[in-house]
This record gives sequence, C-alpha cells and structure tokens, in this order.
Amino acid sequence: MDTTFFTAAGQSFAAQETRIEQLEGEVATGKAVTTAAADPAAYVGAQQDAATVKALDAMDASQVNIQQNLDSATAALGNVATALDHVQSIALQAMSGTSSSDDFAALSEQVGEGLQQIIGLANTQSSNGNYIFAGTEKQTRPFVETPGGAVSYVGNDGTSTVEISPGVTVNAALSGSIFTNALSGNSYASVAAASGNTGSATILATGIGNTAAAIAFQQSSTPVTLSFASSANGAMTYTAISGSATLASGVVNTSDGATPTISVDGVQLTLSGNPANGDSFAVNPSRPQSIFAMVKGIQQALAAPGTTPAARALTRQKIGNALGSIVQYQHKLSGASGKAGVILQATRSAATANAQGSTRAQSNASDLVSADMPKVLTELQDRSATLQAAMKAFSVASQLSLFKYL
Amino acid sequence: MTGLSSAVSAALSGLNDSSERIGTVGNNIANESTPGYAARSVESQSARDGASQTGGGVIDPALVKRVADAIQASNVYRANAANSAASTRTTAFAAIDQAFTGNGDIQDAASSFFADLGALASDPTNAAQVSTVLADAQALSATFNAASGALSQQTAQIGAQVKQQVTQANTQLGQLATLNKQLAAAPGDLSLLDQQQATLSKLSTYLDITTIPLGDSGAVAVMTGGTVLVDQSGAQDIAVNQPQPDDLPVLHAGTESFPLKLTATGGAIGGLMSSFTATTDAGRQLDWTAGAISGLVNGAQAEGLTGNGALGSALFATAQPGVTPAAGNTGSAVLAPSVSDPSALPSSGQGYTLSYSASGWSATVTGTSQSYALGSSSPLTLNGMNIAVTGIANPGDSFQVAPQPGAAAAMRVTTTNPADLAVADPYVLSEGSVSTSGQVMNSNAGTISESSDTVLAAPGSGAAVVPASAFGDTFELRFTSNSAYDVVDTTTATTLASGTFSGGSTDIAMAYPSGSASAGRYWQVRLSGAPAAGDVATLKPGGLDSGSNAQRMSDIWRATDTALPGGSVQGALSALIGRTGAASSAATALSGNTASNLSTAQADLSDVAGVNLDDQAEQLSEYQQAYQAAAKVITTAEAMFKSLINAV
Repeated sequence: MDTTFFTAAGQSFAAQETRIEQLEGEVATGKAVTTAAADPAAYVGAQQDAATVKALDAMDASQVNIQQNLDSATAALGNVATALDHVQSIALQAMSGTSSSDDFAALSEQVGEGLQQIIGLANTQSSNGNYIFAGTEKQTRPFVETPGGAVSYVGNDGTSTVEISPGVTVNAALSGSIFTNALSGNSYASVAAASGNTGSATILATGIGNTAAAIAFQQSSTPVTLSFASSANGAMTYTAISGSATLASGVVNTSDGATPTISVDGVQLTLSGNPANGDSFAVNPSRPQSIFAMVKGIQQALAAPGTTPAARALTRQKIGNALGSIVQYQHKLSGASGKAGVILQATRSAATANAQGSTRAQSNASDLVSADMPKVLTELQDRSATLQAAMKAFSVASQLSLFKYL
Repeated sequence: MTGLSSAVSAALSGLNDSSERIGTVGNNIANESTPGYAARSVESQSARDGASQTGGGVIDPALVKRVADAIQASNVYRANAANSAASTRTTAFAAIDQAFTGNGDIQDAASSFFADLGALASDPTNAAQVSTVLADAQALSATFNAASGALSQQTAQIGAQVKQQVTQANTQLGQLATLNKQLAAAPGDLSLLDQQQATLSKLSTYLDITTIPLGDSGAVAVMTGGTVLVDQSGAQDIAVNQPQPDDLPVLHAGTESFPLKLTATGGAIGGLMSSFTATTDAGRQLDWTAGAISGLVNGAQAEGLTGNGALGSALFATAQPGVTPAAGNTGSAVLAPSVSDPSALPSSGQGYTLSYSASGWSATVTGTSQSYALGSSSPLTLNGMNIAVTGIANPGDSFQVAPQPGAAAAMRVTTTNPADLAVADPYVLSEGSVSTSGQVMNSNAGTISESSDTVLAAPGSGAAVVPASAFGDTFELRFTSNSAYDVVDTTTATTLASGTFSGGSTDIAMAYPSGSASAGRYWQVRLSGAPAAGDVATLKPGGLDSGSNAQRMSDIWRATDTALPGGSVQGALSALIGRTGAASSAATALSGNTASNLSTAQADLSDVAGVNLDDQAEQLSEYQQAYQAAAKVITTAEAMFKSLINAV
C-alpha cells in the first residue's frame, strides 16, 4: 500500500461529495440546470421560454387595456344609438304634422337633451382617463362645443398598433369620425328648400335609380336646383338645372295624396305637398355631416316650426332630410359596434392562444431545466449509500498493513 | 578448515548486507510521503571467493539505488501542467458564465424591457407603465454594467495572478539552478535528485516543462515551449510585461527577453493567459451586444415622437469608436469613425487594423486574417461603420479601430423623464383639413383612412416620397381625381410630391430629417379608402398618445435580422450566453479529464518509484530472516569449532 491509495480514496470521496452536493442543490431548488455551463442548450432554451412567457404576459396586459377600451366604446356606442333612436322617433312624430307649437317646443327640448347626451357619450373616457373616440389624441377632449353651439372634432384618424398575440396586431385607436363622417341626406343627395318658398311642398331624396349616376353626382360638387313654375294651363312644371345645364323638366302631379317622383342624376326625389309657383329646392351632393350638426339642425327646426303652411313645410323639409342622415348614423354606429365586437373577439381568442402559449413555454422551460425529482432522490440515496460503503471499505482497507502480522 | 572460516566470512558479509537492506527499508518508510522521493533498493553482488574476501558472500558495501523512472516522472509533469491550466480555466469560464447569467441576467433584463414596451403600446399614456419601462431600461443598463464590471475585475485578478505565479515559478527555477550546481559537485547524489524531482513537479504546475539531462551528474536543463529557462549557466528569470490592466500580459525570459509561448494547457500560467484572452473576448462580445441593443433602441427612439412632440433622442448612452494611430505613422491622416448601424458591427466585438497602401485602405479583423478592401474615398464604409478620413496617409500607415470599446460599461439610461420615451408615430392622419386650432373639417365626398404604418430604410415602390427638408410640417393630400393626389406642404404651400391610389391604397413615405439619428430612413404610411376628386386628408405631426412606436421598439427583441448571430436580438443574446455556457461546460469537463490523467500519471510513477509499505514490510521480514540465517551460520560454525576444539 502506497500513498496513491490514500490520495485516490480522497479524490473519489471528493468527487462523490461534489455530486451529492449537486443533487442536494437540485432537490433544494427543484432545478437541474442552474447555470449555462450545466447544460448550455437547456439553459438558453429555458431563458427563451421565460422571455416568451414575459412577452405573452405583456400582450395579455395589452389585451386587458384594449378590452377595457372596447367595452367602454361598445357601451357608449350602444347608448348613442339609443339616444339617436329617440331623436328619430321625435323627428318622425314631428313629420306627422299633427303637433302644435307647444308640442314642437317640448320636442325641441327633448332633442336638445339627446344632443347633450350624445356629446357626452362621444367624449367617453375609459377607466384610465383616456378619451376613447379621439384617434391617438387620447388625452384631449375630442368633441368641443364652440360658442356658437357647434361641435368640432379635434381628434384625429391615426392608428396605434398593438401586438396582442405573437404576430397579431390590432389598432388600439378609435377615431371620433364615427360621429362626424356620415353623409348627409340619403348619402347621395341632401335636399334643402329655399327660404322664400311659399308652397307646402317638401322634397326628400328617397332612393336611387341609377347607382353609377348617383355616385357620380355625390362625388361631384355641383348642386342641382329644382324649381317649380305654374304653367298657363294651371299645371305645375319642374325644371332641374345643374350649373347652366337643364337636366330634366316636366309636369308634376299635384293632386291630393300624390307623391310624384322626380329622378335627377340617378337620385330619386319624392315630392309631397304642393309646391307654389317660383318655389325652389337645392339638391346637394351628400357630404359628411356630424351627428351633432344633424341633431342640432333637428332641434333648431323644432324650436321654430313656424305657423304658416309654408313655414311648416320648411321645418318638415329640414327634419325629413335629417331623418335620412339619422339612418346613415344608425348604420355607422352599428357598424362600429360590430367592428369593436370583432376586435374584442379577436383579443379574447388571442388571450386563449396566449394562455396556451404561455403554459406551453412554461412547461417547456420546466422540462428543460427542472430536476427530475424521483431520479434525483434515487440517485442521492444511491450516492450516499455508495459513499458510506466506500468510506467503510476505506477505513477497513487503510487498517491493512503487513506490519501488523509480522 | 577453510570451509568453516569461509562460511563465517560469507555469513558476516551477509549480515552486513542485510543490515544495509534493513537500513534502506527504514529510509524508505521514513520518506514515504516526501515529495520527489523515489524508493531505494539495494543491489547486492556476490563476491568471488578469494578476491576481496575469503568464502565469497556479498560485496560489501552494497550499492543503494534510486528507483527512478524519468518517463513516468515527465508524464506527471505534463499532466500537472495540463491539470493546473484546466482548473484555472474552469474557474475563469465559470466566472464569465456567471457574469452574464448570475445576478441580473442579461437575457432576463432585456426581455423584460422589450415586453413591457409592448404593454406600453396599448396604454401609452399610463404613467406607471412608462415608469416600468424606464426602470427596465435602468435595470438593463445596470445588468450590462455589472457584467462588464465582473469581467474587468476578472481580468485584473488574472493579471495579478499571472504576476504572482511567475514569481513562484522563478523561485523554483532558481532552486533548480542551485540543485544543478550541487549535483555537479556531488554527481548522482540521491537526495539532491529527490529534491530536483520535487522542484520540477512543483514548477510543472505553473508551466509545461521539458527537461534535458546535462551530462551524467543528474543536472537538467529546463525548457518551456522551446525557450530555455535553466541551463548550465543558471536560471533565466521570467518577466511579465503588462502596460495597462486591459492589455494581455506578455511573458519573456532572461536578460535577452526571449518571448515565452504558453499554450492553454501550459500550466497555471498558460491557463491564466488563455483565461485572460477568453475574458477580454467575452467582454468585447458583451460590448457589441450592449452597443447593438442600445443602437437599435436609440434608432427606434429617433423614429418616433416623444411626449414633447419631438423626435426621440438616444435612450441609452453608449461608447464611441476608438482610434489609435500606429506609432510609426508618417502621414497626416486622421480617422474619425462613427457607427452607422450598431447591429452590423462584427459580433465578436473585435476591432480592425486599418492600413493604407498605394491601392487604398484595407481593414483586417484583429486576431484573424479576414480583410476588407475599403478604397480611398472618405468616408470609408466598413460593416456598420463610416470612417471619415482627413489629411493624407502615407503607404504603410496604420490605425487600430475599436468599434465600441467599453460599450457595456458605458451603457447608461440618459433620462428619467417619462416624456422622453418616443412611443408615438411621427405623423397622424385626419380625414379632411385641419385648422390651426386642431379642428378637423371634413367635407370629403369620398373616404380616406390610415391602415398601417412602418419605418423603412428605403421608400416602398410607388410611394409618394416627402423630402427630409419638409419633415415636421403639416401636409395636405389634395385629390385631383379619385386616384391622383398631390402632397402639399401647408406651411410653405408647395407641392412636394404626388401619388396615386391603386387597388384601393397608396403609400406615402416621409424622409426623416437629415442630421437626425434616423436620417436616411422613412416613416411610411399606407392609406386606403375610396377618395373622390377634391377630397383632402391631412397628415400632421403629433398624435402623441399613439403607442405605435413603442410597439416598434418592442418588436426589436424578436424581429428577424439575419445579420445578427442567432437571427435576432434575442437570438444574439442566447448565442452569447450559450457560447459562454458551452465554453464553461467544456472547461469543466476537460478539468475532470486532466485531473484523472494526473491521478493516473501519479499512480504510474508511484507504482514504479513510490514506497509501498506492504512491500517494505515484506522486505523487512525477508531481510530479518536473512540476517538471522547468517547469524545462525556463524553460531553453527562456532559450535563446529567448539566441538573440534573439544575433540582435540
């Protein structure tokens, strides 16, 4: 027996003890790989998985923000739609022509309340104080009432891209243009009566005969003037003039209950009541008209309904034209709600996908670096027993010396 | 009678021989654990009857020999050198690994920063979220600083260790020279040889050595890597030259300053030298990583608007390229490098040697033979750097250019003001025209909306390009038909560009202002819809509450960039950590192997030259019996004499 017997025994004990220490560490931390050196591929893989979990958590936070915004937005849009429905029913009531002047005043007041409600809803703030319908100007009140009672939009139509799931982005900015951009009238033409009209006629754009012509008219900026004249034989004739060109002319049926239709530039105009000689109407291509201006118009028309048949006709003309616009806004609002719903649905399904991705990444990371407890504990026991046995064997063997027997 | 007296005489010589042997056994047992001690054995020779003594027996005194094995001993020296080198390297590589992943994991800090930027994009006005991102940025730069600090501390430590170990090695070299002299005076002296072996063994833990016998005295010459350290004339002291703590120590020996070449298996000193190189290399890679992340984030900052409505300034302060002209330059050229694309710099972090010849400038990557011809026109462009040259260079002039020296240590967050984070897009669309008070007036017959925006290095094909000089002005898109439009600067009332809607969309690219950090890049917006002639849309600076640019910054983390090692910023960090982890793992494995090689070599030597106590016990009893037997011969002869005398 020479010195290497002792040094070798010492080294092998040290090696066993190092491994036992490692195993104890694994049991204590639950991790088999605690440094990159222990298993570079697993360590880096687990780090990447951890980064994925972090990114997904951040995306979940984004989803919560967007959902909150969209939930507030859909609620606000629903309330605006209700308010608008109310305005619509008032307008229809006013159109029926049975109301007294007092009734008109009351209706005007109700519409005014509806307007204030809509302005308030358009300026809805989310829980974090941001204005929802402002594009990316979220910290500025987007709809501002000017001294004249008009409401102007000071937001924008910008976008704000947010990733809600790996590779899936949504626009987190909602433009206030849903309250400003619907087209007036029936979205092709908007009809206004000349203020000096003396007849009881109203003319409303009620449909389109030729879509291409109607679109061309809407996109142009040239209004059509529709004027009426009594002919010598007592018949009422109309002339439609665009600039200096006469588009159409003819006799209109003015008998009681008749609702003759005149077609100009593909737009169908329906006449009701009786025009007087010299009455005229301006048929304008539809342009964006804010919901506020439109409702304000109804309110103002109801506030001064006039007493003469001619004045009442003017009021009816304004309200009737606005009713067409109300329909545009109803479409726009339900469209916006629908779109918000789609994004909400997308964020919800992204949330599900993210949760699954996060679980997968976590379990993957765990697979890579976690200690296999049964295996570790078995090995620990095994190693401890082996070390003990080796130490016993050493203590016996180190006692062996030929000198003892001589 | 001669029979009896020769028996006594032979037995007597046997008695002497056995006691000599027992003395040797005693010496062996006493020196069982003495370093360098080789077991002694006694070589006896039978004597010829009548020559030196009557009756034969063994020659007295017997020859005591040292059971040495030069080959096994030199195996131990080599194994010693390899094992010390490996264990030194294990410590160093584990420290590098720890620097990147220990307290404040780089990957962890970076992924938090970029993930939180993503969350900020959904709620850009949330002060708490902005603070979180800024805190993440602080943590990220602190992690880089800490990692870099740990590495420079390690290089300083290694430098000190090299000096200390060289001093130790010099002491051993001096001792060997002294032993050589003593051996010349007492050739073959066994205890001197023991001391020599012990000293060589100690020396071999510092350096890998080879020995050559000097004559028959037992004196040896000692060499390492072809450089003689000890010869007849004495020891050549090793000197360390390290002008700056960051410089790789250079070793040379003796008054002639012969350079010393130690490999990575060349003892503790060789291991330290290679650890030094590995640490500084890791530091350079860390610098590159810090520079790349800072550069990309700063670049994205410069592409967005801050809360103050200005293009963002750098979020992270970084290092500037360094230039060192060679001492022998004769020209007047001055080089001014600047980083144009931090992620395109070589990821090894290695710098270049730029040299000028008649055919122009060329760059060689330090430590490799990879070189680039750069031509002669200033600025020279080289992998993410522009190098402006002023003055005249002479052929043969050269410069050392370091892209981002100390970038990891220099990384700082430049602001604590949440408003300085450029989270917003530079421009925002409004349908219609916008009054100076910000009121949107829309009387468009058609519709125009913004569908997406992006930042590009070159405008998309077919995009209307707004020149950099107009950046920051408000523009109106005025439609002359339902597809063609002019981009009119409302500030100067000039038409800057025109474009067309095709397939329901159009792209407008705005050049970032020249002189800004984002110069040369374009913010491109895609508009869609169905415009009509006479329609107007406005693009105005602002929209400060948009989070699009925060999202772009967040995307840096995972965006594919084939120029980066690992294919993305995340991949580059993983590659760095994976590489250092693998190096540490390999060093640990190697250290295990060298330790077992050393054990084997030591066991082999011990088998031949070591003292085995059982052997000695067995010999002791054998010699004791031989002694007793010899004594018995003498008593028997005496009895025979007595009986003879009695008979007479």
